[in-house]
Amino acid sequence: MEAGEASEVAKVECVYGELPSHKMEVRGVAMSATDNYFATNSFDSVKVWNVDLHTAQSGNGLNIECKQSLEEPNVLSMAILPGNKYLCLGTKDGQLLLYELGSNSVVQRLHPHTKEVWEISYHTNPVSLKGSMLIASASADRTIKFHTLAQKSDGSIQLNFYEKIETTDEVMGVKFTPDGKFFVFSLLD
Amino acid sequence: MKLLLNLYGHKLPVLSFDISSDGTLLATGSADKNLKIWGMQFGDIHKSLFLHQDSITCVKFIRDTHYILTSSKDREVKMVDGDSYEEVFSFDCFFGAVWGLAVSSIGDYFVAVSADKCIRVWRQT
Repeated sequence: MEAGEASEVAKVECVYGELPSHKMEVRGVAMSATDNYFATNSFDSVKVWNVDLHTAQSGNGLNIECKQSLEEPNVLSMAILPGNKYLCLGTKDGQLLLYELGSNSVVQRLHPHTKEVWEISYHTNPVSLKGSMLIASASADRTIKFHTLAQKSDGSIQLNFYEKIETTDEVMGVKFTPDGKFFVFSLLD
Repeated sequence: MKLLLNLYGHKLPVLSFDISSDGTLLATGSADKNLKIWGMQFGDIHKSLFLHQDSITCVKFIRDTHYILTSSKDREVKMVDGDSYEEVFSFDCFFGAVWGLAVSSIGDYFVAVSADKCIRVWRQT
């Protein structure tokens, strides 16, 4: 992290392009762990975009196309789960949706919160749970709820309730530390 | 599970925050227009930066670096060095509040979405 590196970063940044997309204002964006997908959400729909990394590496610009569009209103928060097969969505009325990209459908619809789900984050290998993924959702109903992601015998996955934390005010965000030992959340106060 | 630490300092709600990939820094962006950089080990505040003219909507670290990208309702996206606290770059080509940011894992491109219905993608060449 030297001064020379900083000037280098500043020099090479350039605007790649603008994508005309949603009919209403775009509220959020989530990137997949493998960089080749990102999802955007608006008041009326969620769109998944595919980024062609091969053209990106060869320096010919990024080739981005809209892959899927899900007409799901009121989505506030998103997370693309590792493997790029599922998208976890949080809605304005407190629902948590598991959306399968392959079939373009919602495979599980939970209603863990009573108010807005502001942020969803996941950790693939938390210390308290060996090997299973933990998904945290932060909500305006003053709780953070944790769900584990389990694979069923037929290969499909399911969210199971794991733990709940009650706070003194509305929770705006939640994130895990990289080592999975701690998590951080922010309140409206 | 137990609560380890409370961090106080922002005058208005923290709308977004991020942890650096090495787990040492925490950056918080608030509706009070300040970006605060905290140390994760002791919860001490390193720096408070008055960056934007309006609420900071999204804060993201670029993986494996201490560079922080911030987006704000003042229609700008800025890049800050989390160690020297210098503003590295500022992008002001938006026509509406910037609501969200996403950065690729090696930091070669990032995406910003805005209230003007556009998705803008930047890439390092």
